Amino acid sequence: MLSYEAILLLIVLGIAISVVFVLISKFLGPKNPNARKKSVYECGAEPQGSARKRFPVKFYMIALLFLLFDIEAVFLYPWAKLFRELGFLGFVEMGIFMLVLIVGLIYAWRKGALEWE
Amino acid sequence: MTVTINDVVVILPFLVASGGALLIILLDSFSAPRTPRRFLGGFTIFFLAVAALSAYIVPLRTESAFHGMVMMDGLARFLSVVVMLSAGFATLLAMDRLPEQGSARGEFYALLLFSAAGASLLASAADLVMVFLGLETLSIPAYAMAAALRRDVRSTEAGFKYFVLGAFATGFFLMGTALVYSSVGSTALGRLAAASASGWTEKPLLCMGAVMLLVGLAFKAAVVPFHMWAPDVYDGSPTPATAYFATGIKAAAFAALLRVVILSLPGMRAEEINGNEIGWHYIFWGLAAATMAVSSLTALVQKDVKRILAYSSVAHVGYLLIGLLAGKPGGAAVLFYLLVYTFMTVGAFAVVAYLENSKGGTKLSDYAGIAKRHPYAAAAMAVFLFSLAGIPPTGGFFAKFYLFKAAVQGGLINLTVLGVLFSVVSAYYYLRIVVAMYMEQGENQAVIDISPSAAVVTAICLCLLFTIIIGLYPTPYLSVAQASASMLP
Repeated sequence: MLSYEAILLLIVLGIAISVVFVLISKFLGPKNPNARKKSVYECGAEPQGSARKRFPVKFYMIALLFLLFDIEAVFLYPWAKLFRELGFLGFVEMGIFMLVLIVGLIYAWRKGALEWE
Repeated sequence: MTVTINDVVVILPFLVASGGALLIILLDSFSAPRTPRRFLGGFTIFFLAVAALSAYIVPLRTESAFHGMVMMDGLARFLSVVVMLSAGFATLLAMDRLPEQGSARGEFYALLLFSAAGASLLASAADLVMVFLGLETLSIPAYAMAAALRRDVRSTEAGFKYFVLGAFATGFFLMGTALVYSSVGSTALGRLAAASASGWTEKPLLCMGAVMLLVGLAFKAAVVPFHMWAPDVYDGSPTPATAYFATGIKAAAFAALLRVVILSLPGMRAEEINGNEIGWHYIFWGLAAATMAVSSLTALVQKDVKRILAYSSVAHVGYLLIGLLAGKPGGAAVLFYLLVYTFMTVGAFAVVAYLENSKGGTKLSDYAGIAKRHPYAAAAMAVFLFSLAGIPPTGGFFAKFYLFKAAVQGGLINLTVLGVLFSVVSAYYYLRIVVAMYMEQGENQAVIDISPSAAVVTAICLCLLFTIIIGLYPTPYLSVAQASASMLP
């Protein structure tokens, strides 16, 4: 039970700072709302209806695939940095990891998940 | 950090099954779309057989490989084979059932192999992190398998329900791992056993963590009061997936329960605090009694055969928990029970799948008068149900006999009495199906029968053969189970 006090302190400080910031801007911030300011922010464009509606599953699949290969990149960077230290075993391990992901990519490609139309 | 060939050999069943799954994904990708994927079932069974065989060829190693992550002891070997058997039968059922549903899909086989690979990894885990990895590799494909019939509302509901509650249980398990680590300073099961052997009453974090680990695993094994998902998921999933969930996943969950709760937290058995005896024993006692009671009584009022079988599988978890409590003789009895249970439960679900394929429903009323139209299937179903109820001369009788014998040897007289009592209750709902099949008149006699597929008939025949053979001559199977459990302390 040595370093737990520090973690507790971190949690308390983290909560306190965010609460304080919200409160400060609520009490001190100037407020002169108009209709345009109160509307939903949608990348500067005019908001069109509610976001809670059905949308094509294509977005979901692309997002999922992006996430997968994003994580692959996260693992590849430290591996590339430490390539010499990890040696042949590291190369084989990364090869297996990439192989599994490539099989997944082939599957997604052949099943048409990468085609937009 | 070096990895030797001896380390790799220990996870050979896992490597074979997951390698097979990757190959099947590739084969599925490059086959013409909308053609039947039945041939992939053949590949699946091949890889499962090689994986099961490799589990037996690999030399036993009680000291762990990969720097204390995995080991191949008798328990890992035996339960790997049980899981591969269960997955193999599920493949046989899927080869008929899935094309029938208009979904000529190869993913199901790959998911099944991945899940079996995870189960094998879980059975040979020697570290909480490895248990977690195995549990997830086992579960995530299972969620997708439950939702395999994409156009079927109940199947997608089953998949979603299984996913949400499974993720919830995983959260418990991870939190438990974190708490145990903060108390013990290691996630190795061996270190955990040493730390919990004495003085656990002084470690509140270890106790909290242990209970959370138990909750997480109890969810996976469908122990009352964490069983709510089981009937809905088993009912809604395609029958091949249900057969695998009820047997393979259950065997893997019991591997984890044995390894983590029974072997690694042994000191939690009973200790004096302020004159009161406190320990695992009482929690397990309550869980076992509640599981048997709630599931047996709820099964009495079910009107769907798949739901009755789902509650029956929960009831069998209750009997198995008695075995876990019974100490050393209990270990062998639990392994033997899991083997027999796999044959009879898969067999019962195989008959359900067979009748579904003949355009029949799964309601109890659909089974009325089945014996006239499908005499062989009805007879096979009756044998499986007698076996599940524990009536001699079937395998189920000996499984229950050895389990209760071990329980009496372990001094669990009260639980044994409860177990026998609820076995009698369970006989009522099993026999209700038999009565419907043989003694009631069916309403829709003019059902179009499709000629049965060889795969399902093979599955039924094999299960029938083993249920009866084990019932007539259980000794060789029992001695294998005893040898496998001999490493348990």
